[in-house]
Amino acid sequence: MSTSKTNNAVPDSVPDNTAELRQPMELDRQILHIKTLYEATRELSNAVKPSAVLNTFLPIAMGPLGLTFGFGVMRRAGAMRVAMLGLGASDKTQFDKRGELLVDKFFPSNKTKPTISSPTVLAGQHLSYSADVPTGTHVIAVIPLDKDSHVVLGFGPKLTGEAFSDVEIDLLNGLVNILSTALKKACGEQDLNERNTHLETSLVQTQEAREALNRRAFQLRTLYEATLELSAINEPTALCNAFLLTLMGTFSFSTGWIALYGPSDTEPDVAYRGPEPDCLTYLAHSGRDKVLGQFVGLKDKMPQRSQSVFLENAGARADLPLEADVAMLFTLNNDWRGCIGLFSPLSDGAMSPDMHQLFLSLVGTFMVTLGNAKHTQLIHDLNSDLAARNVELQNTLDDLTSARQEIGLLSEAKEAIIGLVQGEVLRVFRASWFDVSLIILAGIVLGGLFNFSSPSGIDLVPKSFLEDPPEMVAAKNTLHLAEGGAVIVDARPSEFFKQGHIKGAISLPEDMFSFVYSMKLSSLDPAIPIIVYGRNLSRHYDVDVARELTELGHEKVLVFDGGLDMWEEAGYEVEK
Amino acid sequence: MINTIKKIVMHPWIALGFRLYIGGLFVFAAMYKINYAAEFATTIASYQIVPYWAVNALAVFMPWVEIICGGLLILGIRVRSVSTIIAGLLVVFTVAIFINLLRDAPISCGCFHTVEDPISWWTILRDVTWIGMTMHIYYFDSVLQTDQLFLGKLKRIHS
Repeated sequence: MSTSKTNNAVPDSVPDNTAELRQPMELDRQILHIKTLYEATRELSNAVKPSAVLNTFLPIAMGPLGLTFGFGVMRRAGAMRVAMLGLGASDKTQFDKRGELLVDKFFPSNKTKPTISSPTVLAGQHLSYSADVPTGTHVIAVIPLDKDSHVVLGFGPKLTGEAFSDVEIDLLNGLVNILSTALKKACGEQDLNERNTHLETSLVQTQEAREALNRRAFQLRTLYEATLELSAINEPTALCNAFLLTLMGTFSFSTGWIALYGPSDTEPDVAYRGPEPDCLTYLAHSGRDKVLGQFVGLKDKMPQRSQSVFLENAGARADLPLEADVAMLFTLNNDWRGCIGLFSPLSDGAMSPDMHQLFLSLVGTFMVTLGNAKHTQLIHDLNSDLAARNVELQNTLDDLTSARQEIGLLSEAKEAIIGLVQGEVLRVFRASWFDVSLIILAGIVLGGLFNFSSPSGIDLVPKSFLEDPPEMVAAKNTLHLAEGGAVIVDARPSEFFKQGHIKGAISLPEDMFSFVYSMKLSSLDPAIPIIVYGRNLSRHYDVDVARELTELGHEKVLVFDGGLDMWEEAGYEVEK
Repeated sequence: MINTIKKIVMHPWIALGFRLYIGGLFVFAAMYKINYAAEFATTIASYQIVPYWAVNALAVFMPWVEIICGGLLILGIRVRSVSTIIAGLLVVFTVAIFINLLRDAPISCGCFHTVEDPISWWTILRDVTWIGMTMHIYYFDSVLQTDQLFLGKLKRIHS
């Protein structure tokens, strides 16, 4: 403990001549001082708040010393606390105004290093001249508590008017030190209490934040799960069923329904979960007007595209097609509007704002997913239609291709036919080897047939060409035989006979054979040799006549194939 | 004047007259030859041009070729082909007569009957005239043709 004593500030008031009297008085005073210190220690230890410590300290310090007034100014963390005893209201006002200056005088706030590091007591009458303290202040004690907390104490003169003795100054020092300790303790406890309070507040706030986070996590998880579940569904009615189940599970309702109505020529998408399955059919067939009527009733509050609105009015909810404790109208687009209704909650109590928000978020997710499903369905329908059109187009293309091929074939056939016809026409109107051949062939066929069937038909090939050649004789032998009595027959036509013939020859043309034979040779002895001659390139008259003569029984019919020409060449006689 | 004469000479109706005349001539000539094939064979042989193994066949078939050609010529069917055949036959006949005239063969023409006047240069002239008529038919005949009646419109077909 450090103390500071004033030197010659207060004169000693105890007389020196009464040593015996002074001894017990000194002892009593010491006892009093010790009691005072003990009392101060005990009292101040009970005080909790620094202001209470200060208020408690003043009477304890002033009483034993018999002081007229006392005050204490404490600056703690920028706040000023003033305690007074024995001063008036004006002094209180003075401290309120100038207390800060008083403390600042001993503990300047602009100095980082404190000028006074321990409790110090200053005593002397000169202190009363300061304008910052009440008039008559004889003792000032300054106590540094910590960096931001400082205390300035002041005491007035004694009631007896005596000056402060050293012992009394020591007592004040002791009391100030006790006060310093008590204040530090009180400040520490107060800081601790404040920190505890702050900690408790922070704990409560943390707990609340945690609960809020849990709620938010629940909402986000619900949203995530709903989004995950709904995003996997592309069929609107199935989507409504799944979402309804999610809503009923999340908000604990036993009955729920969703109805989505589009243009009048389309089937609505409805879902119902509850005790009456017939409600589903009712929603589908009779719910349209009631639901759409609610939209009309909302007027300017009507949800627009991709918007939703709670149906707060119980009367309006009563007009819905099915009962609903919570109802929400929503709009996908200008064509599709719907309503969600939840009925018969499993737990009591109104829906909290968070749940309202969750409901809105879920419905928002549902609308987005439903819109996507509608788009998917539309795309699917368009794709199906496109596929059907593609099939039709493919069929048409196939037909066109087939028709084109057919046209190509027909064109080729046409060209071929035209070419053929034109060729034939040209052939018809010009000389053609084909026609010539055909005509000749027709002549051959008709001639053959007619000759075959006609009684006057002839052999196509002469018999002389097919038969064995008759016996031939040379010119010399002919002459020899003729000289021996043989008859020479000229078989050529009579015109040739007339032009010239072998001398002595008989004209026997083939075409007049019967007549001439009967006239000239019928009486001839068959044994007499007959020599026939006469042939040319085109006819072997001699062979034909010889054959007929042989057939008539003449035994030796010979043919002189050299004819008249060889006869003349041989130099034999010709008759003309 | 020349053009007028040329037009008259080249007139299709002249060709029609020639066509009917030549056609009728051949039909008439062929009818006798068909009925008397043996005699016609003798006539052919008398010309001494055809090999003896082919004479009979020629006597049987040729009249039928003639009568078909004559009939087709009258009807106006395949006029040019028929004209070609008839002209060919007439050329052959003319050459044969010419050869036999050179040979001084005592034969008749045999064109219509077996017994006729002997062949002469007049016969050659007659046959040459007929050849001329046939050529006229070939080049200028275009009216009253059966082919024209039935196939003439097909000429208008274009691709």
